[in-house]
Amino acid sequence: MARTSHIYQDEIIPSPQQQIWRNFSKSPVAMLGLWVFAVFIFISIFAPLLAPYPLGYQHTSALLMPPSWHPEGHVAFFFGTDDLGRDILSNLIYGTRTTFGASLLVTFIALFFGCVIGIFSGMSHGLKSSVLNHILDATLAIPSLLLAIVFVAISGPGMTNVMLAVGISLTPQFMRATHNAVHHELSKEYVTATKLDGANKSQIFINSILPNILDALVIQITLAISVAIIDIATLGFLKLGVQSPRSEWGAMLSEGLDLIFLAPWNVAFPGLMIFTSVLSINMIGNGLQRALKERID
Amino acid sequence: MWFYVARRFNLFVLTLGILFLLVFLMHKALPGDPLTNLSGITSPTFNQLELLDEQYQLSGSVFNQYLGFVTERLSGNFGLSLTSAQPILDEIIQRLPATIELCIYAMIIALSVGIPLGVLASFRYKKVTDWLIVSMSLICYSIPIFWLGVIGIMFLGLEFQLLPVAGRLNLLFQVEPVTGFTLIDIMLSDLTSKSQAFKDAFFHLIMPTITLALFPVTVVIRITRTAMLEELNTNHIKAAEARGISPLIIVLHHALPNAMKPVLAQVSLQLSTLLTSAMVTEVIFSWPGIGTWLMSAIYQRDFPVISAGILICAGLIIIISIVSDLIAIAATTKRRGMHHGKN
Repeated sequence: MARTSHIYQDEIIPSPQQQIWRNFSKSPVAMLGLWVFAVFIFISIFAPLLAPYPLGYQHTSALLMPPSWHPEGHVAFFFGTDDLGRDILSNLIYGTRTTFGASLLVTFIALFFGCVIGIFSGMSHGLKSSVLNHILDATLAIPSLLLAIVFVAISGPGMTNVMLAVGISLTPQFMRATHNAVHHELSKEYVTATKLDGANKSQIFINSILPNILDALVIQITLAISVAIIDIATLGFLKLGVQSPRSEWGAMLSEGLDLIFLAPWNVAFPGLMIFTSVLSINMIGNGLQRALKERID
Repeated sequence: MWFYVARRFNLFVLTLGILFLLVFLMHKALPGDPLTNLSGITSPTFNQLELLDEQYQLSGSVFNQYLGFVTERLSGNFGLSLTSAQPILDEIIQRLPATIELCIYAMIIALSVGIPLGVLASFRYKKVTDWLIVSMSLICYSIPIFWLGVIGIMFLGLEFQLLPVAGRLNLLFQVEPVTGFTLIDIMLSDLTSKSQAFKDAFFHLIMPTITLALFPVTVVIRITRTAMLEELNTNHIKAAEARGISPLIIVLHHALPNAMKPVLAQVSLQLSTLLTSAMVTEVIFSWPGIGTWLMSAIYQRDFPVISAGILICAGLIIIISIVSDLIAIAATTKRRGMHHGKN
């Protein structure tokens, strides 16, 4: 082996993950999404260090300052201030934690529970699978945001309740995605082959099915993160979400709504942040989907 | 086929039962007096109390309570609203058409814009047109609906004063609600200035409908594009190409009818998203539909209304998805052979 490798060029076949990464990184749009996503993660981790002012600090001498590039703006308040004199840039940076960071956290919690139940229902068959499927159908029929709104309405607004509500409303989607992916793989012939080799259920699942459904799950995760961001922001917008002094993009937007004529930057920047973060995640999701498709082709 | 219909009906009943169970469990978790939350009567007299106890079986076991709850709700007794003391069913009947109207128009826009664009993108696969359509749909897919509505109000409504920003119709027009759909009601009414009222109602509709339609449009584009690409790769399309049929006819006559079926099936899955976005849109544009009604109920902690709202919204979605499923089954024989628990 050592001898031949010097003479002939080895043909290295990249692993499926490497192939996906190659296809993924070929697309500049997808890479841009990934970079923006990384920046958002960085901001949400180091928010207190990055923000120029402490959370909720009110500059009483600088109410409703326009953004710094405006003739009346000041560079000390880069994106301007709101009607209480709070710096919008600092609020946005802290809001990254509550909206973006929390949505990541919620997605992974929902992923865990949804996957466990989805795998269980996917691997089972007959009556048990049928019953679980019906329960899934019923929970999926209730609009996810409505479920979250009702949950918050009962348990009261607040960070933990919002996260719980969004998590609960995301879980059925993961259950459905995992269930379908597992079912789809179970009917393929390579699974039958491992079954004939005498593998038991957990062996079939861990060695044969799991590697093949990971792709589908990753795409579902990107979808779920963008849904989670929009849901958290929508709850904030409907004034059911995170309460002040914590800042949250959707809540900032709805607070700025009363001043939309006087100070449109109060509405524009939080909306822009939500839009950018969701767009970056959708870019990643789209890139992943294409990379997967190219690998299979 | 009939076997399939029976099984779908079975699924429908079971799903509805589970939905009722979820709402029933929610009632158990609610703060406050359970009887008030169920019936909406804040201070019942002794006779009322006895009647309610009999209706909702509150002294019985949990199972009896559930049965009582389901029978009351299915017979149309949703209780009274805590805030207005009106029967909830009447309020629902009054408000539901506004929401359905909005959703239907948004869906029509979504299908009539999304399908042609999706077909065009698949037809020009991996060319500039395709790239443009896909990236536009990706951008529009990421815009939060409430932000879009607010920007629409800011520019079209306030800055340029082109479109009205709230409500369904100018208060100058007194239109008797017959069907609940403004456009149809105006047609049926005997107003002297019918065309003006019609125009006004139409202008009121534009912004909420477009705001609501944007998200489904992008979804329809993606689904159509994927379905069409799959269809264009099949053998019968290649055979048609080999016979020298023009590409336009191949796309419109050979590929599109087959690609439509998965598209319609997928679109019916989007209904619950549509209904939630409709709720947010209604709140932004003060549209007097079920969304604003539910939101104000939530702010006022009007629990009978909240539970009725969930039942109606989710029930509607279940009914529509079962019906669309049956239509899809009737159109495609291939899907009838599916087995229990395998979707």
